[in-house]
Amino acid sequence: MQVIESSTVLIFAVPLVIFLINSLFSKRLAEKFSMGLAYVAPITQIVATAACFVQIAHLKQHDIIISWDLAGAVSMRFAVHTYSLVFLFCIALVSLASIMVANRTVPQKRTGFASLLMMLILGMNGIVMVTDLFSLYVFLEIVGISSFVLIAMFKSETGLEGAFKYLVMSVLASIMILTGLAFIFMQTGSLQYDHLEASALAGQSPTQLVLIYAAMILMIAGFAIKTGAVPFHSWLPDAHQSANTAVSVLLSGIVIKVAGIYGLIVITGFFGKLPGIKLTLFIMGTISIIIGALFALRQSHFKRIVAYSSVSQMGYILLGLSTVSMLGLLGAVAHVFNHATFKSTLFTNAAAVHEQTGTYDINELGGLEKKMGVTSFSSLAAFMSTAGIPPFAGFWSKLLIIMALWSSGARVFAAIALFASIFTAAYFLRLQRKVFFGKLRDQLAGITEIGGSVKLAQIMLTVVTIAAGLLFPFALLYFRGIGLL
Amino acid sequence: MSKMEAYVETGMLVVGFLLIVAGCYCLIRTYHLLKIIIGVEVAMKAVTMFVILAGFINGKIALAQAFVITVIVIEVVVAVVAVGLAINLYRIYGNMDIRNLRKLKG
Amino acid sequence: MGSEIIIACICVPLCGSFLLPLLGIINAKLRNFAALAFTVTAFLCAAFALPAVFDGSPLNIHFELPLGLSFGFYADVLAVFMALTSSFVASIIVLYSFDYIKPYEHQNEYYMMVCLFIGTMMGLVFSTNLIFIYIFWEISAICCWRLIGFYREEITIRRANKAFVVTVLGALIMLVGFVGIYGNTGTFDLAAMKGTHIPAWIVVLILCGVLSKSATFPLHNWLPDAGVAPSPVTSLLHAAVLVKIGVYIYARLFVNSLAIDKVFTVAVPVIAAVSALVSAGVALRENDIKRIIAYSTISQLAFILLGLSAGTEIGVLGGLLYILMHSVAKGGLFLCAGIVEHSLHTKDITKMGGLYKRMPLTALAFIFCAFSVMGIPPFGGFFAKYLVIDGIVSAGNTGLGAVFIAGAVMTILYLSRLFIKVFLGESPSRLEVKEGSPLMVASVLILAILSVALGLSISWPSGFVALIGGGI
Repeated sequence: MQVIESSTVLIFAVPLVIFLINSLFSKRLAEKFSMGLAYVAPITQIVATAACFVQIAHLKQHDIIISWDLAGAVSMRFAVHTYSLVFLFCIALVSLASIMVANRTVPQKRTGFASLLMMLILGMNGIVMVTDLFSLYVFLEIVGISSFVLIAMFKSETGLEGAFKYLVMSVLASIMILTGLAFIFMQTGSLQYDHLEASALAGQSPTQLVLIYAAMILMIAGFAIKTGAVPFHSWLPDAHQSANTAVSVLLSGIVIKVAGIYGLIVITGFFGKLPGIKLTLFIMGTISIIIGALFALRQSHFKRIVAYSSVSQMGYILLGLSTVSMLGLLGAVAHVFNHATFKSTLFTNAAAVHEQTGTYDINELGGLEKKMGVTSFSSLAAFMSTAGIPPFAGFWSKLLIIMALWSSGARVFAAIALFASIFTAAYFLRLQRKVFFGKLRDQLAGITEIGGSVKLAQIMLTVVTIAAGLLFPFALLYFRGIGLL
Repeated sequence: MSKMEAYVETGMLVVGFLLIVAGCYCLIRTYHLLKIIIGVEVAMKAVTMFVILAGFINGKIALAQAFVITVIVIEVVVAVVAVGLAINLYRIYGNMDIRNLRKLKG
Repeated sequence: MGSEIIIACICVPLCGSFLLPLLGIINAKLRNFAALAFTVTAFLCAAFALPAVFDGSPLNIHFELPLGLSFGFYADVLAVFMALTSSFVASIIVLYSFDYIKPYEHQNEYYMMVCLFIGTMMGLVFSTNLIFIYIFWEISAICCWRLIGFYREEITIRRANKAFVVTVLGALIMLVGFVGIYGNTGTFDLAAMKGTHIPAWIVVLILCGVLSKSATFPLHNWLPDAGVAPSPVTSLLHAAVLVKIGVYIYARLFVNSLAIDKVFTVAVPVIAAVSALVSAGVALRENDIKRIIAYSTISQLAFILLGLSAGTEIGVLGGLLYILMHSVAKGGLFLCAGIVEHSLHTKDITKMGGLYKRMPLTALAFIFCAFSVMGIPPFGGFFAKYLVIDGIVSAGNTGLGAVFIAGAVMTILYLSRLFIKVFLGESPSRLEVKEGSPLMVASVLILAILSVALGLSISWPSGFVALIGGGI
């Protein structure tokens, strides 16, 4: 318990302190150390979450509430679940990768990047640990605002455009979520998660029922926008393509999942028993999988392919959530973890390719395998994992999701979800063939493998992807150990 | 008294929906960046009204007010960022037409 | 000898393969011999498991996992038979590739993938859990993908992608079937579901996987196209070992573990018959030496599937015996084709002729292997073919038996045509053609002699296979 409490403090305090330090020093001075200092936050968080995992396995309890009394009257409550710990770990891992990439791709405004990143980490940590809907909304906005500025801060045409599109969609999402929140508040008089059980929400009169259903639809739509699920996906490829690649790593790797998927996890917790939510998520998930993959097949921009792939993969997570069962949730969270690792690997590779060749257009690339061995291999591992080819990690999470779907009776959706993996394989085979295999172009003859922290990030993420795939049976044993299975 | 309350509630609900509709109509109709931001803000105001209404109905008006103040603060920050983006786009294109934003598609 | 021998059999090639690129950086020769050593170790380990298996006490290792995912490795006669066959042919092929692969790039990757493939094959045959079977199945698809794309040209990459997509699609459909079995029985463990009756739709789904992997009509198209790979790869994957995975799974699931509807004892043979005739017909018309042999493989795989699905014990015995004979003989044929291609730099048989003078040993090996595939007594292939057709006839389907005899006749026709065009007659061009290197010729001769020897001493392999029959 002590360990978990102090970890929680660290997780919130460290980004805040780093943010303050960055702001305190003069711009010229901060520019020198801010990037180095930024490493501290994710590394602390990785250590803290690892300690929490061990502690939870020891306590055999996967649901822990921590409350801090502030001045007697007001108390702040935070929750640590196994699945929020997975999210925290992903946040730290992806942020670490992002900083490593940014070392190379962000030549100026390093302090700005580092400070905004700290805000983003803080916001995401808040989202996964708060225990009431309104705080969730507040942290959601912190994440949103930091993301807009991160996309736009380099003031390129495309960056501003992507940020503006994202901002408008995001504000619409906020309007929906907040309206839904107001309706729920109207009904229950409280927004604490533990007051919002399904029984409290099951209204008696028709008016109340209408309010609850409206709230459910609005909140699902709002969080679906944040997730980038079809039909609300239009902003996602634009924003993720136009941002600096270090930012794309963050956005695709973790932000859409913390801001969107985690919200949906919370929502399904309340509304799971209402009819309609399952079908909505089933259909949205299946359509996302198929549409995302089909769009990815016809892109020629490296980052855009990977961004559409995110849309497709979010569909699997939605399908996992749609079952409203422990197994489905477990599969969804496992897929969140896997998606965090392989998607940040792919964006890191995009950064490496762009840094070395100066282009993202896959038609202008070819034969990079010989020159950039590490990038080629990590891309291969990431794509195998995305396509759910064993023994890579993506297979296991998809398997859990499919099993959960099957046992909840949605056999057709399970079969469609499985067959759609073939599209995933198809667009990545295309990417791999155009970029890494084939003949080396003459104008690319002089390129070399990227070095330094980007290479380190690739190696780190690939090792995590492969290790997660090989060690997944142990993860299952862990989940059984703490009583989740 | 309860009849009065019911009128207030219904009225606020209707006005709120009208404001949201107005905001969305603005969003669809205009091609001007700032007007889009204004439309969104109008819709957002309606939502704050819903929160107040909710507090009014269930008797937790103090909590609702705390929520609304927070929402307004957040909203201002979002508006600032949005206007900042719009100004930067204006510097690039020389006008505020949303139809400039066509670099990214496919 | 404990059960650890199975773990060694799987892990030595599986883990060893990742050492090979490192060894390759140090010394190419060392890497080659290490690759050979790993495959031979797999063979020896499987051989060491024989005494225990013959005693009727199969080796067994079990790991507990939640969700019905408990897995283990189980060495019964069937598994050991498959392991011995595939690791033996694979060892010969690794020996052959020493000289064949030497001039090309990416050798590290080549040996790694070959070795990894042997490891996954061992894992697949010993696995007792459907999910782990699927995992090894897909790893073998990855190896296949990389090995077909070995030359890195646009066309080879496209063909490799095609093979990958077709087999992975088949495997995904099969996975739906596996999940369906899970839905019915609550477990993925083969031992726990032994004897359960499985609904027809699940069988159909799993059959899609089997047919795609074993390149049977209508999912056979990728196999001839995969001939762009180096010849030892074609031999290893597309004749001797990889394509046998599908039929092995058929034997393991539907013959050995689960009960299926009677209708499949007719339906599957009919599919096999179509596959055999269509591909034999195409083989008669092709002019590319490797495509002919590839279509021949499709045709022969249909015979194996026929034997296994006929529903009679004699058919199953024939099918299993066919796996052994076909691995040896067809592996040899592809390797001979590799020698021819290597020295002529063409695959077009209209540009060949009269090669028996230049490469007599290869010609001899080719004709021996061809006789075995054709089913000429006393070569090994004859007995297998006879048992398979006997199996379907004794199941009462005389018509299908006749169709397959026609298929066998077509086999004789296209293989004779191939031999005559390549090795007999006049050489159309005065190319400087040499016999292959001693190592390559030695490997094909081993396989050729084995084709004869297995036929002459048929009592030994058939006795072995009969033990499997006892276990069914």
